[in-house]
Amino acid sequence: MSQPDSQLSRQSLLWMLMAQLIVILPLIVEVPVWLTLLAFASGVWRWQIALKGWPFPSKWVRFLLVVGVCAGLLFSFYGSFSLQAMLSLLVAGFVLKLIELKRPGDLHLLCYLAYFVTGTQLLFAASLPSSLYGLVSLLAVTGVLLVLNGSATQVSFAKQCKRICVLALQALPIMLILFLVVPRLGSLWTVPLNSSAARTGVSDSMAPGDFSNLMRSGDLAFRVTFDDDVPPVRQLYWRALVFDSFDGRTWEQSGALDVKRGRRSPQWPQWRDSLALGSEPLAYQVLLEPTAKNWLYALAAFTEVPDNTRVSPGLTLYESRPVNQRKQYSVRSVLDYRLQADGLSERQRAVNTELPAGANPVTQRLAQQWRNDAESDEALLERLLGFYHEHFHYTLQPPRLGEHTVDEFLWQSQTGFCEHFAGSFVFFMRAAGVPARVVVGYQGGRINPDEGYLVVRQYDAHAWAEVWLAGRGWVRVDPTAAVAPERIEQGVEYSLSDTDNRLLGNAFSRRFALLDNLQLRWDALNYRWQLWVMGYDTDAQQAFLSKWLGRVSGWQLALLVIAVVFTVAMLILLPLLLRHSRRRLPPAELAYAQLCGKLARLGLARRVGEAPRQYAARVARERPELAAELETLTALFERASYGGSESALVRLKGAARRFHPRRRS
Amino acid sequence: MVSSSLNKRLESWFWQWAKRRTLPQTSVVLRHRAIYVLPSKAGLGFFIAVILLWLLGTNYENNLVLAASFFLISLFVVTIVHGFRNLIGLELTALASEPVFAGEQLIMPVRIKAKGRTSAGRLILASDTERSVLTDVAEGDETQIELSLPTSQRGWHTPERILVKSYYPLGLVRAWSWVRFDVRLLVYPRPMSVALADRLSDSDEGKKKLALTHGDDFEGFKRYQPGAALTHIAWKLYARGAGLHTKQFASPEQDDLWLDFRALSGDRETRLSGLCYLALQWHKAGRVFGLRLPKQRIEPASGREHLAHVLRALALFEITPKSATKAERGAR
Repeated sequence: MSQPDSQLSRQSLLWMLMAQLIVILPLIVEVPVWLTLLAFASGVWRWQIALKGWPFPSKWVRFLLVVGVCAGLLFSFYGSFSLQAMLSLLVAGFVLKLIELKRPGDLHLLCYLAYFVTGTQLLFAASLPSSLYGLVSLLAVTGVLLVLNGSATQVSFAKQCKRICVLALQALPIMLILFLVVPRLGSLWTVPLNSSAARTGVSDSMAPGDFSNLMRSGDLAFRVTFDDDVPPVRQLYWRALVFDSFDGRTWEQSGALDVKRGRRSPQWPQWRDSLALGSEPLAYQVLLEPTAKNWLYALAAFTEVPDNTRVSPGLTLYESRPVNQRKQYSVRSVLDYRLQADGLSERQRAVNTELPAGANPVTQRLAQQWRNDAESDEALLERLLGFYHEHFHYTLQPPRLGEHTVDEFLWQSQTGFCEHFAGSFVFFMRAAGVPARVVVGYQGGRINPDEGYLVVRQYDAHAWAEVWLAGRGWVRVDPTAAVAPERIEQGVEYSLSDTDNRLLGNAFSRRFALLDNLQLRWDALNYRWQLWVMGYDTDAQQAFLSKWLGRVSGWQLALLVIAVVFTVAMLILLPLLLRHSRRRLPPAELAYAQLCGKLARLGLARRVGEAPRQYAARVARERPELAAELETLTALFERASYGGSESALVRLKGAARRFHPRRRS
Repeated sequence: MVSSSLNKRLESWFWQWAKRRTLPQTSVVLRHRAIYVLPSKAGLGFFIAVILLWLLGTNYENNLVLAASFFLISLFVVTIVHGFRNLIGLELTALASEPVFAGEQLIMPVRIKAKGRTSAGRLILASDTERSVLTDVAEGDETQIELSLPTSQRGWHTPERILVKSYYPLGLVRAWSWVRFDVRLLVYPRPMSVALADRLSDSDEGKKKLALTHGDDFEGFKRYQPGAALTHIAWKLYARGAGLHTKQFASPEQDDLWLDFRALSGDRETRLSGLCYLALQWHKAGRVFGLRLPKQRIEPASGREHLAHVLRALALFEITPKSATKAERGAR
């Protein structure tokens, strides 16, 4: 027994500090460093207050801390209101609250804040392990509440953990049904997730050297599930952006193609009219990792696009907002197609043959010369590809290029990778008067042998060319394939020398079969998680519900939730209900009650407070023929109940069972 | 004005309703009919946190955050059931308490038995006005706590409804029940010093009645009764092996020490308080004294039991019938 204490117990404080550590730990990479240090310092301080009796910070110290933290936040996030800024603010409040933690009410507030911070942590990392970590965070915070309110005395750590787990397991079914049934409302307002800095991916411009950085990353770009068989990898050109403007060094999108402006970017409403399709469409779902960019990846040429996506004049897909969450979308594509075969507009032709004046004079001159030698555009193209095939070398470590990048590359160094090949090829074709443009995205991917889906990683990033030929429209030409066909056939890791290969992302694990296999399985598990849990959106919800429940209305779903809640409640109360249903009378009383029940059916119920002897006497007066038997039974009962005689009890039980008084006829 | 009177009516209606559900008994088993569960203040805060989390998840279309908010909601639902289960089946028994003087804190021991209870969460017991007491009862175990109740009047004190509440397990819901114990706890009058001289001078009669004399003519021996003053024990007789006897002194009645209701002035309660004070004083001094109340008389004696007897008579003076009816009503 203890008096209610307005002071916090050491145990609850220890739990709070532990929970706080768990909650803040994964956020260290998201919040400024000084905030992390402050968090640890204040944790230590609060612990010293409890342990060594240090004083609480005075009003002035608190005031200075608040001012300091506000200034620090302003300095760190000036001018950009992002989720990171919001999160840092939350963490700051969380940390500052800790050092003035005195009463249980403060602890409650801190716990709610911790719940919320855990939620924001889940926004940043949604993989399977980080989800599990989030669950642990939630449980730890719940543990604080349990320590605070659960018991008046100390409870051991193990028992505490057991209690939390029991609570969580009981909550699980209700959570599941809510997750499955509660409708998703969709985005209400926009706060940008400012995580672009940490993300790698295809960018909206291409200068020499850009791709080699990308290819050193083994990060996941996206995963694709094909409804039917996966086509050969060499056909998988994941198209993202089209670059048609060159300033002598960097390839970019011209205003007519630029998709990075989101809502204000040009659209191409009549894209279907310019397509001639030659084969059956392939259906597939792409699960795109967050890119912080607004373009999507698809195989050319798509025939059906997901909702809310736009088609750019370069036949690429994009959204009006950056993809900050893992995004799943379905596309249908036809690999055999003709694009704009009936002619380009004057404007398009002009844009796609435009070159900066005075850039790469050698190439410009030689291109004109080759142009005059060639009979047709196709012949020119073949000659150029043959040239690449004969003289060029594929490597991730090309020499640096000077002012006239294409000149140096084509006629001097002749070593490089996709961006060099694609850029120089398009430049050459343009110089020869053939409309051409650079397309970037990813090429190929790796099929997960267990699950049959395709994994595309950053090192699959690729750039290739499109050339417009009369009668055939935009034709994909991949000069890299002419230099290193194995890059396209099998993947980038097969096309490089050993030293180059080590530069690729994930180099370590790919060298050991076991690790590689483990990684594939792990990826498969993650993929399922993403697909089923993270990808459970309104469409998936409707599909799921109609599959399992048929057509159901809103109130029926509500009823279902109530039923689940009720079932859980009943299960928790089950031990209690069972106990109530068991009669807890002593065995002698039980046998006697059985006897009285039989008499009651004849209209001779025992009155309240009537002693067994009195009752027997009354029954004997009414039914003299029962008198003798009843007297024996009553005596047995008295001996069994008051005398505690075992043998009497046994006899009483048997006699009560066999007692069958007849109705008076 | 209107709303406050309506509030009052609603409140009194609610208490009537709640009262019907908790019949007074000395031993109360908490049943589901008498247990109430509502979110606590902290629970409302929790709800706000959950709603914010849900908004976050909805806005960023993040299923994990949504799942976290659903998990917390489910936790809340589960704690409602646990809060209920923490109270149900508890058996509370009011144990005998030591009488106190009016104005003092009456300490009522309450035994809490968790016979059929399956969980063992924290309990808080409180009377309406006093500090609450925290306790744990392990499963199938029992514990005893002491509730202190304020008293103001002498006589039988029936404790007001006692609040048994629990915020188990997470502090989000408050499960509570009111328990009314059908016990009568004795409260003696508040002792108030009376200046003896004043009282004596009030009347001649009083002078005689309260005279501090007592007879000293030895009359004989009487078997020892527990509670008799030690000074009167015939130790010589005891030494001879004749057992404990007390010496009896023949004294004229009026010469004995008497507490007399009529000897004091003032209203009834003042007089009783004064008598109570004198009784305590004389007991401390080890004197033999008797009590005379209208329609009641206690023969002179001394000792602890005698004192208790006298104080009880003072406490219950002219109020016994009322509480008897109360007890009857409770038993029904």
